[in-house]
Amino acid sequence: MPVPATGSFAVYPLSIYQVDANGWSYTANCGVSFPAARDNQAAVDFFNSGVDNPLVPASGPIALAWSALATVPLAPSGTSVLEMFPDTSQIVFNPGGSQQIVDILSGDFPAGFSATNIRIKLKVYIRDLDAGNGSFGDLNLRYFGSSIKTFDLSGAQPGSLNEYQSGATDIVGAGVYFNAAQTFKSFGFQQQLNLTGATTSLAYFWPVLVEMTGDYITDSSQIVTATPTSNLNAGDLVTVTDPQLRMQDVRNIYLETVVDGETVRTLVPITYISRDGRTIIVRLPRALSGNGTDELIAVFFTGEVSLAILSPQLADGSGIYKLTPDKTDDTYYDRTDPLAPTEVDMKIPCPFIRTGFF
Amino acid sequence: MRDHQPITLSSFKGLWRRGDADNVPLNHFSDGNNMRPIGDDWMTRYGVGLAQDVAIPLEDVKRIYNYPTDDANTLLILVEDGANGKIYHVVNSTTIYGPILTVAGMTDFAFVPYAGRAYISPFGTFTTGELNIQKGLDNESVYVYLGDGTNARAAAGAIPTAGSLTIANGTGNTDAGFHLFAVIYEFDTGYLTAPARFTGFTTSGSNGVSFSAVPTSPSANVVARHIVATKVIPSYNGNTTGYTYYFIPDGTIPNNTATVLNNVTFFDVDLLEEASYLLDNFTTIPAGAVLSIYNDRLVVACTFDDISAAWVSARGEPEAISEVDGLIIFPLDGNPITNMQELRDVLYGFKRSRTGSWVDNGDVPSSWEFSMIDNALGTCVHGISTVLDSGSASIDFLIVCTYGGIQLFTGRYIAPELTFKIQDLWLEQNRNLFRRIQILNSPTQKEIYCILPDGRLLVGNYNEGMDSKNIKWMTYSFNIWLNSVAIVNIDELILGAEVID
Repeated sequence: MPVPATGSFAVYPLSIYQVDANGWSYTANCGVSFPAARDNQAAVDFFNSGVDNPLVPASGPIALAWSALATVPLAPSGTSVLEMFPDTSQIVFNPGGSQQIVDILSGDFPAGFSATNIRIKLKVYIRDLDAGNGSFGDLNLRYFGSSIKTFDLSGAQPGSLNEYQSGATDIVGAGVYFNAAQTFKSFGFQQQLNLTGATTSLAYFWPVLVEMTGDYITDSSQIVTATPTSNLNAGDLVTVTDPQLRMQDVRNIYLETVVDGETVRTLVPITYISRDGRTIIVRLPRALSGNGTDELIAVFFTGEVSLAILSPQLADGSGIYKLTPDKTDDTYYDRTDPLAPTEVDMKIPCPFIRTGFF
Repeated sequence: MRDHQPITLSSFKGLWRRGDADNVPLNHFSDGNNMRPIGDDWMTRYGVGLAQDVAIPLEDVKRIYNYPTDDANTLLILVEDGANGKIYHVVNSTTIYGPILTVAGMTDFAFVPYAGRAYISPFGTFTTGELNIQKGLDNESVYVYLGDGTNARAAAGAIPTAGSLTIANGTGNTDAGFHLFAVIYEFDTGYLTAPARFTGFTTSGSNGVSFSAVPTSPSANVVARHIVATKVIPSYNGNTTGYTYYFIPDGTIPNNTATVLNNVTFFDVDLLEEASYLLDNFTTIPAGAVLSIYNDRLVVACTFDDISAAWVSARGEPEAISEVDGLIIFPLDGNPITNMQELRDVLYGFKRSRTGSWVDNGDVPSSWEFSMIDNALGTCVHGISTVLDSGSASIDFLIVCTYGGIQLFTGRYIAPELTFKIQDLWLEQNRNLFRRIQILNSPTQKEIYCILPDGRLLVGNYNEGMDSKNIKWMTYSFNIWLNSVAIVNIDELILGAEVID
């Protein structure tokens, strides 16, 4: 059974894989973290409490990858942000020739992550750069660039630059758009800073911010939205929206509830399907159980998709009732307060008939 | 438009959920809900109202049965209260007795009314592999409720165990010779225990018999005791239960207090009413998932240990069930007996996909021949329609919920099934939840009401004929989860709603 839309990125936040032979050192609290509660992400701090990451060797060329794996929650839609934050770290380049530092924000998409209408935007900031002469300038800055290093669609190891949209190599500020529903496996965003000069260069790590804006799905999540999903009664309408335009391919929709450990399915009348297949309006054919398992299921020729988990207005209306001739509404017990049940009048859930030819 | 031929639809025949929607006949509905037929038209169904007018109405209702008492049309209602199932007796909207019975683990119960009393058998659902089956609760018994608000008690009862029957010559006459005597308790339901406290005595032709130290029962439900005796035994071999016992015509003590019965006269020729059939009776009847009445006998089937067995009582004595020859067996196939029902003096037994029968031959039940009726169709525990409050067959047929649909049964299943037009809807139902189906027939309103596992009510209106073509089907939905249905006062439809955990 599909589960509600959730997902997460598995992120390797930083890889420094090249520093030239002149060596380097670092100051205290060198590290990278994700800021707390930024948009849809939780705080991830790879260097808790300011404990230095043991970068070794402290000088000389290194090829180092910090492979601390973090999980960053992924919202089903909207904007998800991955942001590397430099803490208060400093990298000090030793005197010498040209120097280079490259970092890559890399990670794995959730299984089956497919973009349907997504823009990925990489923002970088030079927080500070002291090339030894006390002020920032391009005297010592030979190159500063940012690009998509890898964007792997096939699941093979990164390395190919041709799997992202052409012409979008510089995504600083502008971003790169993905419109096709392709399944992505992993990603890597690279920044490269080349310095030249004989003097000591002092550099802060720069923040890297990756925004993913738009719609995407994963195997275990989806961005189908349904409204409303609570306070529902039998006969109420629920509007389901799916940017993937799958609604036009819906064969049947069922209201599913787990009862006594078994699945109960009730066919749901489809009231309206939008012309482009983004929206479908269904009418709840029966009461919701209120046990948290009431779920709208769309059945396609190729399988099933969970549309929404629903909850009722009347959580406990149990009791004994009688069908009363000429009564035009339903009266139920309302046990919101179990010690003092009250009565509630509700309309008869959507009486309707539909012939096969109208 | 010039050649357009208008089609006049004068009568709609209800839901059609069979095959592709394009195949829905013109005069049927591809979809619909909460509508009821009024002649050729359809209107919104009636609303539901509260059936109780008390401060704390019953909640989490699991089962409702009509319970016709001697003087009223009432309801027995099972509610779930934590791990316990509690049965209440709802006399009317303001009067409720109980709980009259509380049993741990009772999620459902079987019931039959008999002579104003209620026989109740608690059962539950158990899992065998991937199959849910219903059978009587372990170490539980059939209960009897007198309908007066007092607690239900275990049916049948304990035999006399205390005291020793003392016998002496008294005034009167007897056939001289050695007799065996014993005592039988009679309960307030008429149940007679097995004879016990066997005592031998040689009577004199010129004397009657006087009894003293007649045992009394600790049960407050014992209302009388009977002295039974054998005819003269010319050569007694010491086997107290190896002889035929008879009720002594004047050997009844009409209370549970007196211990003396003096000067009883009887002759062997007076000993007509046999009592030996009571010797092997259950003192407590094991609970089953099925209760039924057949030929004035109580039938209990599908106990915890014997899912293919049914116990049948003596005629007219629903609690007198012999452990030895009160047993009938539905051939074992791994499936439990789900229902038993009398039709035209034949006892039909049902499993989920089998139907068989027995005929009372006047002898003990174990001698009844079994006949297989159908090897494919059967029903579930509440899958045979009750008629109004009778709990039995209507006219000359049964309405049976099989896996294939709701079908008429007249000794064989009538095809096509009544639910022919809504076959897809019926086949959508989860078979493992068929125990949640309860069906009821109201001949006065000419409607069949069937609770579906998804909490809806399926209604079949047969005003224009009870056959697959003319019956009009419709679903009723509510904002509550229905699980039981009953009718009181001829046409008052009672609905039970539960909390789905």
